[in-house]
Amino acid sequence: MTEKYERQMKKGILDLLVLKLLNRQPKYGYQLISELRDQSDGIFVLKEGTLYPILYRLEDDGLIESRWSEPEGKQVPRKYYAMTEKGKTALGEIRQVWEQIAFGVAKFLDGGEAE
Amino acid sequence: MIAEKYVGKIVRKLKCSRKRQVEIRRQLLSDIEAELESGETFEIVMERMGTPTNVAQEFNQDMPEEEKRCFVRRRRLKFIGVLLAVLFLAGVLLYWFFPKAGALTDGKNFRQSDVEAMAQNVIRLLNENDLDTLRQEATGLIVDYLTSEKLDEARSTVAQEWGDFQKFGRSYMSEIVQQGKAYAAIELTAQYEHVMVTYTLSFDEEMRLCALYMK
Repeated sequence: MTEKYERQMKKGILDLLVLKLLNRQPKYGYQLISELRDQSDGIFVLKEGTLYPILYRLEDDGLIESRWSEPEGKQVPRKYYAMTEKGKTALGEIRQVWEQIAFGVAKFLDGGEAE
Repeated sequence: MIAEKYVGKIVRKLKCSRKRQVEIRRQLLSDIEAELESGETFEIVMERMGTPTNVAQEFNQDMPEEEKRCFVRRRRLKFIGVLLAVLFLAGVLLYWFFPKAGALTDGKNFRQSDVEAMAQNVIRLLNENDLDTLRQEATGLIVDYLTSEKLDEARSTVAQEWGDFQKFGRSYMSEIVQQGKAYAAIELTAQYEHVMVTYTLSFDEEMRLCALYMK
């Protein structure tokens, strides 16, 4: 039961987290998955099937862009995603929205609504 | 190799454009390679990613709408393509199955003079009641019908009294192709003392009698 709501809540903020991870430097798929897992202390364990559609959507919206790397030696080519200027602006706006929601929710939950 | 097989199973279940499928395939293989490089075994990677069905389901759940529309269009086109192919094959099969008649010209299968001579020879054998020879010149079901009883029965439906054979009249020829085999058909009139009989005979490529009709 809890798992279902947890998944729904997480899904809503994944765009924000992915944009945040790409804010500093370009990253490839598996790198995003492992950094998200490590930096959230295992709260956000994404799978490829969840991450890539998010990346495709963000790219379609022009918030990120991608390019395949030139392989060096035996290394396989990787698709790197990088933030666009539009993405940087969007990140600031989405973050603000999130902070308002988080503040509002916290205030509501702590506000002594009779249970 | 195992990774390619695993990823192939995922990709086949994706509901998106062909271009996106190719992209996802490349990205998944690249991710698996990155994990293997970091020291994981393929079994661990597969366990983390899930079964091909689950991975594809996750992709499909969140696939952009345009990709889903592409998939529906692709599936529809594929269906139409298969339908057209089936209809085309059915058409070819029907064309092959049904007989196609055309004018008989001297070509690779028959010569007009040979067909006419063979037809006249058959009628002569019938007139002489030389059925043993005629049976040797025939093939297929007709062989069983070339008996005195059957022929007398057929003759009596044309006229009770024929009289002696006088001469051959006009002839018309055509070539029939059916199920890849060619046949020569000839309609030839024969004048008898009391009756004019029109024979229709057909021969196979080896000039053996296949059918006989008289009126």
